[in-house]
Amino acid sequence: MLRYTSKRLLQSLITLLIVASLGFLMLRLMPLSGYFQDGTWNKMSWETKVPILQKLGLYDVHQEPINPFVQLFNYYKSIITTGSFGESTQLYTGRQVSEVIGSRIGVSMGLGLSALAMSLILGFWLGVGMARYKNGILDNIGMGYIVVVTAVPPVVIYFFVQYYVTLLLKTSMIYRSGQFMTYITPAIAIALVPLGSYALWIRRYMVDDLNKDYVKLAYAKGLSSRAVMFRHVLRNAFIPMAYSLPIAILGTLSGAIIMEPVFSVPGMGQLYIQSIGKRDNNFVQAIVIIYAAMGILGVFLGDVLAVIVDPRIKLVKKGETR
Amino acid sequence: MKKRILALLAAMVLLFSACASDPSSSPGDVSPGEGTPGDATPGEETPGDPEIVSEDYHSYSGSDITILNPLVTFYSSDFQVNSYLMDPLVMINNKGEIEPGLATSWEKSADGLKWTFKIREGVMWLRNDGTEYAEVTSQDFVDSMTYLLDPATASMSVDFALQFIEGAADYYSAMGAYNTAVADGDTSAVPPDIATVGVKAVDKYTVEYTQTWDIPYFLSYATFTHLIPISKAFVEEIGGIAEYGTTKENYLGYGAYLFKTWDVGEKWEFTKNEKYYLADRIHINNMSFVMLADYNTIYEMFKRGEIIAAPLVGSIYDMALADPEVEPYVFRTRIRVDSWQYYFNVNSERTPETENLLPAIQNINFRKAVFAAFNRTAVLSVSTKITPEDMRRNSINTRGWIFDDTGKDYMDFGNLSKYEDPSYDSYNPDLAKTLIETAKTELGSSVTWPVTIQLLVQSDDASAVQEANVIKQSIEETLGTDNVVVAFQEFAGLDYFEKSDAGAYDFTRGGWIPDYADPAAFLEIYQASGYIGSINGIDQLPEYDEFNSMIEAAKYISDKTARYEALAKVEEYMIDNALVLPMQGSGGNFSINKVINPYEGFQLNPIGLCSTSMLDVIVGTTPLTPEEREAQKAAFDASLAD
Repeated sequence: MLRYTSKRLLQSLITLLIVASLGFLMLRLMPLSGYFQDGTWNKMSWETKVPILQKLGLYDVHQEPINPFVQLFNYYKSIITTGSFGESTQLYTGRQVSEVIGSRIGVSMGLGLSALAMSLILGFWLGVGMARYKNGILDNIGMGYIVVVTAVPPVVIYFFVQYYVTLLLKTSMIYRSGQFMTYITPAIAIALVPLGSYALWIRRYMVDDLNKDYVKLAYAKGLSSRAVMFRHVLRNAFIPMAYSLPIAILGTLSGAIIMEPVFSVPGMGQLYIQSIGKRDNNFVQAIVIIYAAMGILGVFLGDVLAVIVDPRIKLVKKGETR
Repeated sequence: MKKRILALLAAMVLLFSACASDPSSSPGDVSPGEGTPGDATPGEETPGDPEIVSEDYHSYSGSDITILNPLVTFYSSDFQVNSYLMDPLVMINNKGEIEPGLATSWEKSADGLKWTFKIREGVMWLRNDGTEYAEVTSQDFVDSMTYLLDPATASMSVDFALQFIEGAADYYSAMGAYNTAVADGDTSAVPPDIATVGVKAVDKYTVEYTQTWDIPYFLSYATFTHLIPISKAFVEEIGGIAEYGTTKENYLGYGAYLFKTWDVGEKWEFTKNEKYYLADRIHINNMSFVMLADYNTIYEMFKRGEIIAAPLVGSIYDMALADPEVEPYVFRTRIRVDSWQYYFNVNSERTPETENLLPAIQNINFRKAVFAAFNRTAVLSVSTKITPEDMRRNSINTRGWIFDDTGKDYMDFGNLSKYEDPSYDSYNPDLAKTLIETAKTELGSSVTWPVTIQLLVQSDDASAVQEANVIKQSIEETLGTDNVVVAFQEFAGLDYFEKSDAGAYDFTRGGWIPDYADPAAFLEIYQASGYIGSINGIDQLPEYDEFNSMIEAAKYISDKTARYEALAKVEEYMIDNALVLPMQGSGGNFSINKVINPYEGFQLNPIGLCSTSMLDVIVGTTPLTPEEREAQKAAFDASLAD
């Protein structure tokens, strides 16, 4: 296990380095005019643009362009020596990138985790109920709900929630920090779709497994249907979900790219879009690194969790990685 | 690369049409009536009316502040917030009149080169919580210039100082050389002396600027962010100019409001600064802005009373008119002074087939024929559904913001007023047909007919495609496809910008957002050294030399009357010789707003730092009746005509 873990971590680090470097170099393909917005490119003379390009790390003190690979080297060097992602250059000029990201991650995670908890708990009970009373009223209503939330584009659902739920709760249409009631609507909005898919998964698994031999055996042993359901079937149904849970939890860090602009949530999703819009390279690079790290870590944790939940799964086989 | 900006600028017109009630999108200034030495008397402000009660102002902003440091930034949100926290030396109101800002009086020296500003005594630098830091003195203006002219500050707008302030350009280059030398480890390098630059603290409350020449529009430039004070002691305390304005705590103001909350990416909150010298003209006690970009949400929040203003874009306009509760608040914004023209690109990237067009473009009658065949109203109606002809502009400059010393509007010089005749329309199919025949005769065998005019079309922009189709239809129907064919080069995304950079078009739209009040600002961009002229190869047209010598002779005239007389002739020459086809201004959008005196103060000022000032603004609980609003508008128009 230890050997496997260290090998996986090393692989992850290399993957991360490749992703970050590619992202960095691709940003350098942008023409210089992209850094000068609101018509400033044509209003400014070249001699006044150079100091800005120097500040962006694109030009050196002798007013010559710096090779992108040298810039990449400088970037890693400054991360290692200063231990930070540097300063914002265009979006929140002069602020530390890590400071802004730090303030935003909390907002996104708070909303994301509450939405995840909401969708897991409600989805679970809805799925169980639908399986228990298959073809009954609850099953039909649940199915109708699942079809609707899967078929309708998420942004429509968000606008729907924003318009009607805020009317119902008599709260602001947008997120306002310090006002708890305004956190509820965005969390509900992003919980609705995963709620449907969790319910669908639980229901399908339970209905399938009810015809399996081990269930028949359990019934034959005289166990109550409640015990069969919860002690045997549900445990099995949870294993595949274990893979995706770490990714889902870590995913809340990245924020909701579509939802956040709708509710004006000052989270990571908006930050990502805004930093690209403003061509703030230091932000984009830092966020790319964070996203990539989360993806890699999420898959790894999913594997580890699966081993814990399901004793049949082994990560190492004859000294090789899975 | 510059050509891309052309396309971007063209796109910006549409963008502006989309952000109806957004604050000024461009720094700069407008001014008439400037230049009369000492024409403002200190303490002339209207005394406050204690009866006036305004609601709080809750609104939105499409984008957050990038940095508060006014010396560095060029972005509209940053200027907007700065206009709440500080005043420039002088301000220009709705009617284009100069009002005192931080300065109470000003005068120009006899040789016309020096401007002396007397600043208010006892104005204190305030931290964002309202505590006093130090007094604002004339030395703060000199220190501010020292920061601005250091390339290491990386100002986006320093160019204006380099052009207008004596010695600034030399100081800037010397400072750049000094910075390089220091970076290279040269310890013997000596920085230049700020005394060589035309800014001087005469006494504690008097600051003097020396201009590079007797610039007739210098006072309008004084409303901009270069001639502002910065407290050097404070900058050094927070660790240098790079830190100034990065947070609300790292900033000092002296203006109408205190910056209470800046929740990054979420909201701004301001409270009235009771110590502000014009506090009796500030009626709104609290302001808040949330970051919001979706127009439907903004409109719904207006209806629910969460915010007090919203733009009416697309179908929202119809919804607002149909809603009796919203309809009384509907208001059309003033058409901005920005100016946009169509013109031919002589430098187009040519294939052997399109080489055929070149002699035609150089023929004046051909250009006139195409311009006369171009139905501008139809093109404008693509993005402006309601009365698009209001957006149409027949001249390059517009009325109501540039005046000479006697108050005569620039548009009254020369024959410019002929373009303001409501019935004037360059679109004239009969004339176009005659002109194209004349052009064909004149061009003889040098051109094979039909000629093809290439338009570059951004295929992923629906309204751009629609506009291109309208242009094609109007030109081809009028001139006949046996004479002129309009072809599209359609590209999406980055490919479009690449083609645009490469100049792969024959005919396009470009324009300018001015930074100071002068008609030449719009005309000199077409000189071969100007930002459009350097791209479109205008100097290859036979009429160019005449145009160029006319504008060179006009643009350095200091006397306003003579200057406008000469520039009016240049403008007329450009239009009548089909160097450009004037098209439109921007703005003129519909919005809803609970401000009950939209024609007062600075609210309609098209550009400038003070254009977002809250002086005199009143937010009401009950909307104006349509009659009241009409009466206000009529009174405003009448006051402009004076």
